[in-house]
Amino acid sequence: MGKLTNFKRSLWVFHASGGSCNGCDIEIIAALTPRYDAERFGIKLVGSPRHADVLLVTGAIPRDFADKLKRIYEQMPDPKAVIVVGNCGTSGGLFYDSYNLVGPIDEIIPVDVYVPGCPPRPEAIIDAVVKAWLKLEKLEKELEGKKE
Amino acid sequence: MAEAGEVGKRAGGEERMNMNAEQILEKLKESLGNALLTYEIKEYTMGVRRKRTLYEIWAEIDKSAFRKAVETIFNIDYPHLHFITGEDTGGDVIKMIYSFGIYHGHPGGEISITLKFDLPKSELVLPTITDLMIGAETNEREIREMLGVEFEGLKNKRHLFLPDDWPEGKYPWRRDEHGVDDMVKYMHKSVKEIRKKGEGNA
Amino acid sequence: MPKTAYYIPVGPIHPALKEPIRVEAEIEGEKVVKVDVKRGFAHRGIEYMGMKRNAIQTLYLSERICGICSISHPYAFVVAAEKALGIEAPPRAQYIRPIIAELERIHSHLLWLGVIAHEMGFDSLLFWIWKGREKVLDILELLTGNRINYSVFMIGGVRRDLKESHIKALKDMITYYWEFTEKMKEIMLSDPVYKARTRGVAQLSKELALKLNVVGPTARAAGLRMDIRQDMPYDAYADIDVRAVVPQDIVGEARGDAYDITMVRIYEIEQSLDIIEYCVDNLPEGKILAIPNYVALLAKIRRTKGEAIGAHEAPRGEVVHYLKFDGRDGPSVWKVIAPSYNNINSWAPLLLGAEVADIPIVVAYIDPCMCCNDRVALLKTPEGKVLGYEYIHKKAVEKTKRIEREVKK
Repeated sequence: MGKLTNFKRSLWVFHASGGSCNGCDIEIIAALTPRYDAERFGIKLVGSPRHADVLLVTGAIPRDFADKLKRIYEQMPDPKAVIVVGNCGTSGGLFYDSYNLVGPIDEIIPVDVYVPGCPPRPEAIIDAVVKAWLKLEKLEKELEGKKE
Repeated sequence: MAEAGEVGKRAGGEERMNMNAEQILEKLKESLGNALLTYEIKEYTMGVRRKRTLYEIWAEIDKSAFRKAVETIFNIDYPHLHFITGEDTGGDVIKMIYSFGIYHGHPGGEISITLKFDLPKSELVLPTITDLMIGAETNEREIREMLGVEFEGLKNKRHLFLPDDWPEGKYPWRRDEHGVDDMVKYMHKSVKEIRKKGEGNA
Repeated sequence: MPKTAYYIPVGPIHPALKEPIRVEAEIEGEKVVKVDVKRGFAHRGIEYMGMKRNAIQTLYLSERICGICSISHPYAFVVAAEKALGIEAPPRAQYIRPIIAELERIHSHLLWLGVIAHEMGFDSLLFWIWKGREKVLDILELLTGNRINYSVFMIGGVRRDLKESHIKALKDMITYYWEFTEKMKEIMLSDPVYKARTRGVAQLSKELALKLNVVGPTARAAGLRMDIRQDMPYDAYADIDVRAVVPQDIVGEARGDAYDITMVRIYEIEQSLDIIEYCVDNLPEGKILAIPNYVALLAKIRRTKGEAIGAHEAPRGEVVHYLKFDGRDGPSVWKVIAPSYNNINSWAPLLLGAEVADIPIVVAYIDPCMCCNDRVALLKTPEGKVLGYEYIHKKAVEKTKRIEREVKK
């Protein structure tokens, strides 16, 4: 991984669970606990999308959650990145033929990083956040370029 | 036995002996009469080194006797409601299934009682049991939205699991024109479909 | 000063069991005056999907009902399917299944103990408990190949055998957790601040618990001796004589509050350790699958006409599955009852009249969720002001701090 030159701050993550089985969600929390300790990289879960750089989404999005997810995405400041954690958000996975699901997530909001797995391991989730970091670095550069 | 007394007291105020499956069935026969159409006591043996026999009562009753059957169960012991569900095979009736467990708290002694009856689709109305057990509200609300069965006396009729803007007259568990097969969104093709269309090598 | 009614939405982004949930509470001053619970934000129509798939696919689907109880639903499913098919799992499988199920109970209870600590503002305690939880996840990974969603059960047995090395690792784990629970009792149960913060909060009487149809630790904390492993034993549980863990057996009386439920959960971890030890020591030899060929299994299901109820005591309470096989290779009717389905009934009566600072404890009490209670305030009503969940959490932490000061005086 190269050096970060433009995005020079801790990465704040907002986590939204949209109809997942909870498996991915506990692994996200497990990534924060002492064994994996994502906070040592400055990665932190925050309580509001308005403070977040990265949106972590799990699940295949039930019917009435789609507009809420859009609103969460719109509330986030630029530059922002979206990570989908788990198979069901990526492709529908096991829940491919439900009457109440409207996923996959990339049909609702733009997605930057996919983490396959049912559920993915905490290491994979941290790796995805690092990948999002690189994306943010690029976006930040573009934003600064516009300013000049 | 202190344990038995405790559970017995819950039911009716005075201590009483636990009945066995046959006695419970007798009690049901007595109170329902001809409305008890068919019945069966199923026995299951569990365990490896110490075999235990568990008893389940399965009874088919007439729709009109439903409330009476439930009250009879409540008179025997305050039950635990396992589930309410219904089966729609696409015909004119929905087969309702109520399952209660009584004498819980007794090691190996819980007896489950399952009541089944046909509910004609022309008249999907049932009396509520929320007056006997507040917790049944969740179950009744679910059945109401999943099968379209109305419960007389149910106070909270809001959607439980389905969104508030769910279309009228659509019930996920129904297998007739009220079903939801047209609402399903296929997020990816099944392996079978891909093979059928010869896209497997793509 | 006129009282203003504030409107507090909790959720819906809430990593809960079957459904993320929204609790809408109206408060006057510090008291909750009106509660409304809205479920269904994660309704995926799993039962509908299962009624279209074959039984083995449905088994894996049942695992994804809940990632935390990811062996409890398959357990109830296989028990129901075996009853309907009239087959019995080989003795060795009947002993391996409870081992996996009890390991899951340990991880789930530790998860909850961490959550409740977080809700009160003891974040170091949360991290300490979750560090301890990694040990059981390691063992589950060793035994099944995955940390969560183990996919190890099959109708008529289990898919993976227990090796000698696994047994050694299990024994190590048992020693580790006996020490861990002792420490936990000291840190949580004997701590005056913890006691003051949880005594009388979320108090559920025995009678109300019965009427609300609540299950599992929620019912047991209220003094009801309800445990599927005891009432309707199956597999090795029938050999072991499991007894429901109730507070009246530990301290003499059951009050049904957040303190009692903590106690029930810690003692249940110890009970699980005993069960695992028994199963490991008495593990029978032999095969692990009754019908090893899945094609033959599906063919048998297609030939079977029958129905059955299967129940398993999940960490949060009983899981009940009803199955009907009717000429298809999968269930023609499938009904699932998850523990939170019933336990959430307790929210409305418990929240009414509660303090704002106690909302997180009442909500977490039944273990519907995990440590991350970060939700978004998305809602506004015309009449009330909206307070975010962070505000409530702050309130809860403030109350803990206040009690801490009072206790230490």
